[in-house]
Amino acid sequence: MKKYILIIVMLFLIIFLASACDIQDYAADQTKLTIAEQYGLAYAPVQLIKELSLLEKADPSLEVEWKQLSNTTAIREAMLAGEVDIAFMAIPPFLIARDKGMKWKIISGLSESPLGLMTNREYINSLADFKAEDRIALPQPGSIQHILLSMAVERDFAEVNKFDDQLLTMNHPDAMNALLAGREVSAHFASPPYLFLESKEKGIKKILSGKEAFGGEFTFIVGVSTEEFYQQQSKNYKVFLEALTEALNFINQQPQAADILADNYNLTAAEMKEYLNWPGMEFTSKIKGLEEFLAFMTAEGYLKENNYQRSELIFTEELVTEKKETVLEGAEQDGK
Amino acid sequence: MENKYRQRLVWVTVLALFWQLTAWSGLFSDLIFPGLDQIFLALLKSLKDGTLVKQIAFSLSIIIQGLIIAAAAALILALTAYFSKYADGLIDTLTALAHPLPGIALMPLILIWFGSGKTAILIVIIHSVLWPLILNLSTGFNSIPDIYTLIAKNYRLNKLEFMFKILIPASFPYFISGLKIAWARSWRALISAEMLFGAINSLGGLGWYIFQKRVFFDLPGVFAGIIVIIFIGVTVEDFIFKKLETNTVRKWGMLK
Amino acid sequence: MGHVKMSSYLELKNIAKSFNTEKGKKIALKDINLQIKKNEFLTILGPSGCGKSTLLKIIAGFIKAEKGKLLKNEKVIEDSGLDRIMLFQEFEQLFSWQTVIDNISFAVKASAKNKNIKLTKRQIKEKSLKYLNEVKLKSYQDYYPHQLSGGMKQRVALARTLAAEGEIMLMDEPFGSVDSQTRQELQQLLAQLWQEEDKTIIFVTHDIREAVFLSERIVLMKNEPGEIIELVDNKLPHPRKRSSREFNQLFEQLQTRLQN
Repeated sequence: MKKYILIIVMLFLIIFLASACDIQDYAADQTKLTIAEQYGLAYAPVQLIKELSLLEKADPSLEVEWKQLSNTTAIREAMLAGEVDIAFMAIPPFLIARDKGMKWKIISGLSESPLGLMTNREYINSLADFKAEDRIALPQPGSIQHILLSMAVERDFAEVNKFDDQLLTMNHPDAMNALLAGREVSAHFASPPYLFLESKEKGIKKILSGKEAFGGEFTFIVGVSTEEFYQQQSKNYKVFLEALTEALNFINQQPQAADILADNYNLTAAEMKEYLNWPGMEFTSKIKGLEEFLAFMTAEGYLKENNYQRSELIFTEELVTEKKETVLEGAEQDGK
Repeated sequence: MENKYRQRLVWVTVLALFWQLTAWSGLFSDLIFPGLDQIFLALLKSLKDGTLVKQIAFSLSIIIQGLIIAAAAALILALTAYFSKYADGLIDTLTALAHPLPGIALMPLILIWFGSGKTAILIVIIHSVLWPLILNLSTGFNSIPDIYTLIAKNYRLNKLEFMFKILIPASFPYFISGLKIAWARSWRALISAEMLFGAINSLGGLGWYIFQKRVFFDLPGVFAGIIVIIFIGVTVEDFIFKKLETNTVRKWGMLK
Repeated sequence: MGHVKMSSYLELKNIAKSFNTEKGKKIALKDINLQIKKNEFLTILGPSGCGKSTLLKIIAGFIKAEKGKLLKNEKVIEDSGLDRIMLFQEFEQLFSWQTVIDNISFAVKASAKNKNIKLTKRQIKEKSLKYLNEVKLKSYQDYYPHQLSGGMKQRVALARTLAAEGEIMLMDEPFGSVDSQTRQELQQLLAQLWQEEDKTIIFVTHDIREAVFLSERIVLMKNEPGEIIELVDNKLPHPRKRSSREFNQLFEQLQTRLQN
């Protein structure tokens, strides 16, 4: 019996010590900033921060780590573990985690983007044309694509789960391949650059745009970080936000942004420019559509709490925006 | 035997206690380290609304189908390889190339060729089971005492009689150990495959259940799924296989 | 008076066999000529390496001779068959996954099939029990081989060989793996069974006393190359006593012959 107790105590001590080390590291470390890197046109300004070394220029003593993570879920978990300070994702995944108790908030908007439901089947011209065996590929349950589709479905058929049995979880590259192969997958809710590539293919057409599904404009990608990070590393927070503003200005005003980014996206400079200027592609720190997402997701049971104030979900709103809309004057200043 | 299970029970309780203490200590947020109470609540909830039971049934039905198909195929292939030199060369080469491949690595290919859904998962399972079974069966066939071949000759058994009366029963221990490996590999492959495939809110198996929980940030749900997976794995390995062994190779004194 | 030629039962004519070993070609059997009479108990006696096992396997049809012919009733035979059933030395000749009675049923069924007779399940069981009884192991019918001692295993194997109902029984040092006490019991059993049945038994051994106890005729072999030295008749009356003077005389006679 004594042996058992001894072993229990020892195990406990080991875990205690191991975790204690971790906590200490985090609190003390003001010199390191870890940012989750994701592939996609919508993240282009973040990519610019990396390419132009904006963070290192602002604070040479800062060690910047860029972590490649494959999807939003992985990023969420990495942030929970304290491995990532700042990440970018769509609003719904952010809300789902927030609702489950994850202590994080939005730092800033990043981009609005055209999104679309692309199909390879001739007989499908609208949501009503889908048959029971038609499969729709999208990144994961709870993703913005899923939510947008649900919104459209709810509006058209008053039955939000109508397509749930036909949804396939696939990342964008696989989904695009499957869509072009034309067999298993009938439709793909795509985002750039896959959206653009698919729309150039013969036999693929768009039957629903993100805007139509949402019923208006909405921010596609926002930046998020934990409250812990915001409070304990406020210096780094500020540095990042300034770098982000600079990047947003750069991408909107400087033509050579396309040249700098083209390599990273495996595109020619001309293609890059075309994609950056695609209608609907907007890089701005404004956060649009938050309330609508909240309302829909609460009504359909994706979120439990339903009293979120905007300030609970965003750190500080007008810290820096490049497109200033002053309430008093109601006039737009020039930006891009 | 009794003693072993008693010991196991004690250790499980110790670990559970240890877990709960860590959860209560507040060292970790309960998002990362949910307490057993949260986990069991999640488990109960899923059991009550029937989702978990349906997913378990789905997973089990696929793996049983896969095991049966693959076992039959393995038996046929191994027997063919035993009786024909050319077949042996071909099958041996195929096995050597395919065996090291984890089923997950084949997933993109399977997706393109077979689409997603039940067929794809079944293929992954069959792939996980087939090669270790063929290997074990072949080894088993080639390991039967030479004297059995002489007896078969003496009694003028034809190929079929030889197969069913001597070859297969004599290599049963190898078949069972192959089956154990196959089960282990396929159970793991199944869960991983389910996590990748599947539709939302519908049948996708245990792996899919866990994936859903993960994506909706329900960590206690994830743990509940993990517990079920462990439970099923232990039940099959400790009870079903044990029972099988007791009634066959143990009874016959043929333990390897 | 005319010379009546006895038609031969089992005959080996000019049998030769060699093996390729690392040390070159080894002549296992060089020009073996032997006639075996029906229902006799013949022992092939010789030191290890003299080719006696090889000879037996050729008779069984497990190995093909390089030269020469095997004839039964003056017809050449090349294959194995139920007419020449082998009893092996190895304990694993029994099927470990079957009970004792099922092991014997295997032979019963094979024999019935060979004779184109259909037996019911009950008949098969009856027959199997009969043979099991002859080796005095009826009460062990539901045991598995691994639960039996070596001597018992060989008895079951003997019962199975009997159950195959072959005219000729070939035995390859079948009692070599058991202790001497058990061996004597088994020899006793075999001698008794042979006297009760009409069977030709060809028994291979290196144990002279065993040959003297069991056989009517002894084929003495030498090795390098494997050849028959001499054929010796054994006219000792049954039941034979190992301690009798005649027994030991024959023993010494054979021993001397072999040592030369």
